[in-house]
Amino acid sequence: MIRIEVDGTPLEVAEGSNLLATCLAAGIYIPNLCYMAESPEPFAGCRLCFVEIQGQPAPVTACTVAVTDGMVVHTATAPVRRLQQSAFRLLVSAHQITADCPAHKRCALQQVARHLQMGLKPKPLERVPRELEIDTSPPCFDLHPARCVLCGKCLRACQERNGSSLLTFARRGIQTVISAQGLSADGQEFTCEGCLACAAVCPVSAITPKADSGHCAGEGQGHADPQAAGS
Amino acid sequence: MPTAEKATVQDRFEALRTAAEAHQRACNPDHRPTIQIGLATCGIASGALETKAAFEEALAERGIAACIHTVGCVGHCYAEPVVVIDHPESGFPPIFYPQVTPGKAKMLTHLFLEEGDPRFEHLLGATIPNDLIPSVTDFARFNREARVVMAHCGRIDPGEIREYLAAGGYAALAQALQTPPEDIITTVATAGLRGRGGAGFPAARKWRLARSSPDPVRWVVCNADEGDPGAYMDRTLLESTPHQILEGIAICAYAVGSQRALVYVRAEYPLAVTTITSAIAQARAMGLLGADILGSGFNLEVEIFQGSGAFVCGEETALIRSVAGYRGMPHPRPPFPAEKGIDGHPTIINNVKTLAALPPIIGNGADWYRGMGTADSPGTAIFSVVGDVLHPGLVEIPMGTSLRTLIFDICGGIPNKKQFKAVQIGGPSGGCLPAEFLDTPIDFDSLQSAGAMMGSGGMVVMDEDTCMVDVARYFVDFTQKESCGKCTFCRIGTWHLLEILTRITRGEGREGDLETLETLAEDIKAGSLCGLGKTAPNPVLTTLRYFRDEYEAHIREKRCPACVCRPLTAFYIDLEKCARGCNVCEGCCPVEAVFITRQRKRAIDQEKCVKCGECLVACPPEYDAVRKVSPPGLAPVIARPPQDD
Ligand SMILES: Cc1cc2nc3c(=O)[nH]c(=O)nc-3n(C[C@H](O)[C@H](O)[C@H](O)COP(=O)(O)O)c2cc1C
Ligand code: SF4
Ligand code: SF4
Ligand code: SF4
Ligand code: FES
Repeated sequence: MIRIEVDGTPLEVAEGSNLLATCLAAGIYIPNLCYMAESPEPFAGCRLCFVEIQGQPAPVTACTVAVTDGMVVHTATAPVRRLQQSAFRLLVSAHQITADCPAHKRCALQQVARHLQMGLKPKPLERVPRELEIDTSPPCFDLHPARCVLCGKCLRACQERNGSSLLTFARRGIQTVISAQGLSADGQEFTCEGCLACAAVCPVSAITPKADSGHCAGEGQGHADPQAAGS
Repeated sequence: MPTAEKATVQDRFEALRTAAEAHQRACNPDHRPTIQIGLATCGIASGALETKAAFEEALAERGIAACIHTVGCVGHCYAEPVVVIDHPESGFPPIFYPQVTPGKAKMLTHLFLEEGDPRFEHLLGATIPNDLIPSVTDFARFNREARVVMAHCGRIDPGEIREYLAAGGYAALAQALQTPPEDIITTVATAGLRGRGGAGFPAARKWRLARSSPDPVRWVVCNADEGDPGAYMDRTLLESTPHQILEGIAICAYAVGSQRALVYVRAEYPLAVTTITSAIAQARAMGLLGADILGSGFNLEVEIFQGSGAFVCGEETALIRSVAGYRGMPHPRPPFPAEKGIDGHPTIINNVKTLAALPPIIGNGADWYRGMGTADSPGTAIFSVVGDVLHPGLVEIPMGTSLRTLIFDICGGIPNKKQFKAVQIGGPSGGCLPAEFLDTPIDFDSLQSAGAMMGSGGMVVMDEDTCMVDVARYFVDFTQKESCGKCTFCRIGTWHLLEILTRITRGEGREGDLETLETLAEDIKAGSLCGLGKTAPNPVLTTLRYFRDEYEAHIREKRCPACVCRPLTAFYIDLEKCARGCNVCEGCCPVEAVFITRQRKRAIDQEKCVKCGECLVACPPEYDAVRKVSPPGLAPVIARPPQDD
């Protein structure tokens, strides 16, 4: 065990533990959307989990840091907040908010907003005009790309569970979406197992189980990712 | 290593070299004239194949015995198709001819090869100093260059390994194989070789990391992804000097203890792929690659991986994903590829130019290399200089050469009597530097502190007719489209940069836009996961820093100072200058916006004009009557007379 200090609180943790996981486990919330403890490697795409580590010139993402003895961490400095607020503003500028969203109130984005004391408007930025159709082609769930924050959890959950993922990233730039067109490692088309592991991890209900998906004995019937809450 | 074994490697190599030299001599035993034609992509695009056919035809017709020697690119893109004719019997030294069309080819065959007249009006100069005719070495384009990596470009046939061997090739590999690997790394460290793929990271430091790994399986990757718009250095090297690259790969692999290497090249480079593929086969056949190279016991297999042309796949972690068959998306580092790369094995990724610098470094020593360039950036830099310069092309200069020397002396300056405005260095990751920086030495650190970047060698020169807001918009449009989409700042942030820049170029800029641009650009730089996002704001930040007044003119006065942004400009015809009866502009206007005034002159209907600029180009220079102004309100309004019919 080694000692680290987060916002003045001393913590005793196993050497090499993930800094974000350590903080969350200790009840210190750091905004995050894409971290998944089960993944072998951090995804590091959402860019919300910035912290400052004493001795380092600029904020770093907590999900990519392995703790070392004596590490002194600050989770709420001005440079940290500036990056977090900026990333959050960008995310909501491209995220569709509707009253009928099943994630409403439980959405991970709303939790981040509360923590950063921000509204759900991207001012002074414009909203990204996007007309994205709901994809109802997967057998067990629907994909709502306009809600998706591209945290990549769904495809990693599918990968972890089934060794291969039905879900994949498609297109580039602002057009990037999650698409249900994945291939298995040997290039064969991958068929959905119906496990709904993807829906279970989605932090913003961008994957919703089909109402009539009785045969898809999923564990994903609840939405908004409980783990995103962190504590 | 025992001495007997050392001798074996050297003996085997000497045998190869002797055979290659004999082959070279046998090619042209009776000293026939040689016609050397550059056949890299640039030459072919300017018609070099037709030129070659014309020579062949003319030689056959006239019954002249001459050798046609096809080579790669000499770097003088402005002069393509480039031909060098060596006609020993004429008494002249070898002569460099630019822009040799098929017609010129036939003429030269007749007048020079047959009659001994080199046609002074068509030549650029002799390739060596002499008493008879001017030599190309009198020009800065030739004498200010220092060719190390490009030493053989445009001189040898890239398809013939024996030409490279006869020119001294693979001697450095033979030498390296008789030296302990650690000593090779030390030489490279002492030489101060920094990576030429963009960041300038010390090559030896990366190699040591891989060398010290307990994993016996290690990879070397030659990064030839080259996705920057306008950059073509790596392609040209692959097409012109493939064996120097392979030799470099082999030296690197030997030094880090790797037996597997990969050339990652984009599938859009078909000629480069063909050239390097055949070079690998030839080197294998001679025992210079494959098992037990030159009897040294060192094995190296080199494969080719054809990428599908995503800019981000040049980023090393994305490249590794792409090699594994996945979508090229970067990973957070550490672990660095040198620790954990292809299939989890230590992987050294170096740029084509970094690897191609190894044979000369090993062959001539670290001190020789340090003799060129600056203390912190030793050696040479290769740029593909494009845009508004008289002599665009590929240039290799010592590090530390000033931008002014490169742009004005070597590349001939700005054509058409225009003023220099800015130079974009480092492609979409780099920055735009104004005239105040012309005396900046070209090296990794000076460019970085000016806000630009060495990058991998793309350089775009821009004259006064360039709108800097539009330039920033162009590069951000590129990076936004090429963003892999993984991280928030790059995927969404660059979209907002683009949105704001686009609005400004349309004349819809608002107060506060510049501050928003600046803040967001800083955040994207600080917050992005990989180098693509981290550098994407550079064109915006540098143009904001050095050309802020242009942004302000767009926003506050709705004026584009360079008259580039269409919604902010208008064309009109200066009635004083317009010649009665000339009808050129009317004929060329695609939308019939040009009409006839009461005085039988021409004028432009502003409502109809789509601002394509055709009339400006078409108006004969003796009248030069079409004007372009910004803001559009400056164009005088001339009413269309009632239709006659
Ligand atoms: C978006 C992006 C694109 C890149 N493209 C290339 C490339 O086309 N060729 C290249 O050699 N390096 C490229 N790099 C740099 C590589 O990641 C890597 O640093 C380089 O290949 C290392 O080689 P060097 O040390 O010899 O420079 C790119 C980096 C980024 C972030
Ligand atoms: S669908 Fe949900 S889990 Fe998948 S990337 Fe989008 S937001 Fe993340
Ligand atoms: S910075 Fe851009 S290219 Fe790099 S990982 Fe993020 S989204 Fe992908
Ligand atoms: S700028 Fe184009 S559209 Fe306008 S008048 Fe000239 S030719 Fe016609
Ligand atoms: S949780 Fe660290 S970047 Fe998303």
